[in-house]
Amino acid sequence: MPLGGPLGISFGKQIIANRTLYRWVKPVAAWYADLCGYRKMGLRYDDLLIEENPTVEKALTRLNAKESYDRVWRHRVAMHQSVLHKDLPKAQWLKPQDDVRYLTPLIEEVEAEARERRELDTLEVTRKK
Amino acid sequence: MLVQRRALAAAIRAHSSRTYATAPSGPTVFAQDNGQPTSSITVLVKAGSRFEPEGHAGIAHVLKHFSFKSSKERSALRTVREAELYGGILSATLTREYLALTADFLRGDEGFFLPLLASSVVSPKFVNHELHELVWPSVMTETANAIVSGEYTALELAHALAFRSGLGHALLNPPHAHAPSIEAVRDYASKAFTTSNVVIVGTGLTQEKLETLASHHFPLSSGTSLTSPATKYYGGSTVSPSLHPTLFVGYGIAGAPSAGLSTLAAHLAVKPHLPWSDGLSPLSSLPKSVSTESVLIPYSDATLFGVLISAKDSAGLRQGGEAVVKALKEAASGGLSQELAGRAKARAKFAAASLEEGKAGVLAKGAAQLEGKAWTNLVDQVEKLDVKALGKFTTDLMKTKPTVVALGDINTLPHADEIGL
Repeated sequence: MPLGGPLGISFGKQIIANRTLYRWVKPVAAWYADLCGYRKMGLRYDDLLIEENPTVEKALTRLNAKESYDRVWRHRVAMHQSVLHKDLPKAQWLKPQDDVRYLTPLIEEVEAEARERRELDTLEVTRKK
Repeated sequence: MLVQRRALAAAIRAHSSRTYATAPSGPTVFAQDNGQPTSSITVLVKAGSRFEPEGHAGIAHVLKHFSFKSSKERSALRTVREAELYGGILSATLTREYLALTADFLRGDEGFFLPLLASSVVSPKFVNHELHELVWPSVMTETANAIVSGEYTALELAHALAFRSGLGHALLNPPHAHAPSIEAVRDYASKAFTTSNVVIVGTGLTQEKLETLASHHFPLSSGTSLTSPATKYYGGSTVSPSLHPTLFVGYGIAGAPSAGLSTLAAHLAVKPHLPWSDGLSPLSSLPKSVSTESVLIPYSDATLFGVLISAKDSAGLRQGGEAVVKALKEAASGGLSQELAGRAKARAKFAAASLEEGKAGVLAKGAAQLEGKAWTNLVDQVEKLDVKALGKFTTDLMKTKPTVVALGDINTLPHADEIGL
């Protein structure tokens, strides 16, 4: 598993919280995401998360039927383009506004559950006086 | 002048705030304290299988398994772990009429357990993945375990024959069903969890204490009461293949609980109240391989009465069925000896009195309060019944169509007319 859990380490929350920093970083982030090239294969950012770990596997089972189907479809299209060594035609590139983090909230939910379980397992109980 | 006016305004404000402060109207509350060392609170919801909407058979069973799952206040895991820390027991029970969420705990812990129960009723989340990961597997397991029992299947078929829709609905989710959508569960819950369907019943708590707590923690919407058509008794006969030969012979009546039926059930009950004795029931003389059990299931507007017979084969069932019919006919002819009738009456009175004493009695009283009916104790009515009245009651009962369910080997199973009905 990558360092910092399946979602990796991110300073996103802190950056968004700081307006000035957000104004400076946002264009760079947008440029970088575009540069990564996954959108040219029709993929979303969350399609690239490493899924071979219990947390993401659990989160994937919680996708609804349509999202699950669409994810597999995007992977198939991307794999086919990879075999062809070609990007999709420009009209079919994923638009930045369609690059939705559909899996991240579910992963965070599974992580929160695990955290809660750990917390309850190692609880020290003191009876209220 | 100004000071005076201000003082007056303040006085009016203070006064009006008192006048218009209304206590939040909570659901019905019923409590009984016998000074026992443990308390228990039950949230009784009129959401049994009887009220299932058309096309949603089994949704009450799913709702039962959704109790104590995630709510806005706490997750399913936290609910269980915290209850364990307090040494409490959480349970959910489903009958055809009510869903009961119960917490049993040590005296003094009601400040924790009532909000916990409330969170399951007032602010449940109904998360889709909980339906598929936690709720649905346990629903299917419970159904699968129930349907292998001949007794359960016989009683299910008996209810369906006796009452058709409403009380005839299957108690548990049908074994072949798919999981319902989370929206359907949410919809049923939003109709069921309203003030007019919920009564909070407490034992080991004072009424005032429970009322104060409930008015704080149960801000339910008033909503309309769930309704199902008034029950009518039909009766009928059916056979079904099964690995466990079982026969149900009985009758149902619509209306209030009847002293006659409970006396008949007591008359046919074989379980002796003394160890190592066979008892005096007319069914006690049956061979050991034929076991019988008298059944009396009261509902708010009907009662199902009968005898469940299980045996090794159809011949055993036939023998048991004939014995039951013979005993009923004997009672109908008024031919019961004073001694036997007295025994049956004493037994019925004891059953009614001991029911009233326990938690079941408190629940029944709470349910009666929700229905807006007065709780009636059968002890006095049974007392008034004599052999002649019992004979007349049984004759009238036997004029209605019996409910006969036979499970086992289809080729040889006894039918209603073959056991003398």
